[in-house]
Amino acid sequence: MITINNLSFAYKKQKPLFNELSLNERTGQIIGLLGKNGAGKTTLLQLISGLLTPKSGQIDINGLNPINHAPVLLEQIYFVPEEFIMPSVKMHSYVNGYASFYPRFDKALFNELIKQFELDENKNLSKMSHGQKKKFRIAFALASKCQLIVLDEPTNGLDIPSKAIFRQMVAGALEDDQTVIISTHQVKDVETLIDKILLIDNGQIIFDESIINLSERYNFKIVSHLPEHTLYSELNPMGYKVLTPSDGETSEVDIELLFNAINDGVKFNNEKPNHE
Amino acid sequence: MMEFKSNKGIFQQIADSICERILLGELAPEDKVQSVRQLASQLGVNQNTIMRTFLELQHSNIVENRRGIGYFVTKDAPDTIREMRKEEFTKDILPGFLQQVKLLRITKTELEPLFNQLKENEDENK
Amino acid sequence: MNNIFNINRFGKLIKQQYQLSGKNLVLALSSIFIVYTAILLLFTFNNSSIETLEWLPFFIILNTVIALPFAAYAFPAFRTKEKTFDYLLLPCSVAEKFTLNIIIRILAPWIVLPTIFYISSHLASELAQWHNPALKIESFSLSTILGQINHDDLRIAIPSIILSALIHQSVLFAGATVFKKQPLIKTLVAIGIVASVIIFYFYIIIEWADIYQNGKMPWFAIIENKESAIHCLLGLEIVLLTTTWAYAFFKVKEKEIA
Repeated sequence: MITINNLSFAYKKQKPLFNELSLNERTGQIIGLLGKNGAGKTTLLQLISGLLTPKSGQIDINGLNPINHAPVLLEQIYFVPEEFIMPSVKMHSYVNGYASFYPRFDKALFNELIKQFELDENKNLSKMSHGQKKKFRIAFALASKCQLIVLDEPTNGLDIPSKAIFRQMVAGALEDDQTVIISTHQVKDVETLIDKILLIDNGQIIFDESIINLSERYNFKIVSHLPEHTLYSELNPMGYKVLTPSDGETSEVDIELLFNAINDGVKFNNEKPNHE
Repeated sequence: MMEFKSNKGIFQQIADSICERILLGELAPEDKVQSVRQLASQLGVNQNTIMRTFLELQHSNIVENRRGIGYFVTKDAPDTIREMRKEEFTKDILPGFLQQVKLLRITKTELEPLFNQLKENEDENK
Repeated sequence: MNNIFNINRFGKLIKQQYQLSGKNLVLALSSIFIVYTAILLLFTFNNSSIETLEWLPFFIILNTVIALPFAAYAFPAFRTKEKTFDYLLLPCSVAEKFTLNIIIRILAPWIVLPTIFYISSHLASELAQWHNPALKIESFSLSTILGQINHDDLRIAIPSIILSALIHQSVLFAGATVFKKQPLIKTLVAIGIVASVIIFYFYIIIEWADIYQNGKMPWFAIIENKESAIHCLLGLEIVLLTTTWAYAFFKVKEKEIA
């Protein structure tokens, strides 16, 4: 569904952000896009949506090049940016104006999601708090049933109960042909939600692995003494948080620990070969 | 929300909780288990993870897939689970328990009332 | 579905515009009406007699003052990065978005503003006459004004005057697709620079270099009569208008956030 070949990109008067980046993602996954500040998570999402033009390389979404802004593709993409401005209208006017552009928009689902998020349909969108606006956009995104839903830092600004509701809504509202990309720093917020981890650093995808594989191949645990085959460890009040090869049992993936391990230079044997 | 206390993989934790519900009788044999979507939405967990849970349970003959309808608890599920749990218990938990008993020098006489309590439970169940 | 222009989708775009800015539109039109009426009331109350033609300067100045900045602020979403983001992702073709802006920002004022002026001027006339029945006021009427223009030369020139007004709007409209903030002022400055370069050029070739000395006629003097001059002007204006629109279109097409 998403194919990127040798993508290079640089902002004006800045050093290249992506250098020959390649990526291939099949339909029907929830992808967690991680990376340090400034690694280019948002830029990559914007390139995928056709909001920026690559310097070189190809991007292909469902067989179409996003930079052409073809309506057939646009009606299958919904992007919730990290920052946005809502017009000064009531929620139902906004929905009346926008929903018809998305052929699979599900009004019943939208109403349900709004209820879950405790949003008032008669409130003016521009007068809502940032968190409420965000919840509205997330609800709209899920109700649009678009094949590609892009969520840039979706849990930023959400209160604690809303984060759990967010996970439930995303997990429950998706169809098989929908792909979701979630870019985030708040890994704990999406840990149970994502199918796979995509990590960008230094203009490359340096890690691309499914959570199930990780939970089968590695052990993430807290121990009092460092075990023999420790790949990476961090001090913890209880002793150590450690990452070891699996002993046959599956283990709940601690993305934070994984992220730190990768940044620390730990090599994973299933790492993508394009890492230099 | 489910509490993910154990350190097992999430799909494993969900499988364990379904087994727990079968043992507690909340889910009887021939009952329909919630759909993948329902469970995903209830737990806030990825649908593919839930799918994985069901495959695992199906593999252990705890649930069966009736095409187009969903997953159902098998007739022998409680027995199967008990069998599996017993194995786990003797392999993983009992050694630790026995070691604690040894360390704390707990005698058989001290343990007896506890075992008797269990027996009473059994009688009540009958 | 047609990816270049689909009438059904265009309808959705109109509906969306209405849902989002219908209220603002009503507000803006009412303000224009109030301002027009206030100014025209001052005019009617301070004159003992008004001929139809005397309305014309008001008609031209008021409508110009509203229509030009309105064109200069086309594509309001382009004023901020965040709105540009959502606007680019709105599932409509560039042609549809562009056409709607041309209609709203350039063409619609030609109907809406004269209508408001018509109502305001009549209201002002009525009120003034009601206040002082001795006043001799001929109310505003475009057809009467056109009828009063006897001068044939002027009548021939009307299409080119209209085109010239359209070009003014369109250049400002194009400016709105180029400049993010303050498009009106920036476009005016840009036009000012271009205009002064052209004027300076003509000054150089005609006055300073004096290449048309010894009684030679300048090249633009080869046009013999006024009628062909007008036709030349019309042709030039049409070229200018299409170029401006094409330029604006490609600016919208190539828009990205950065």
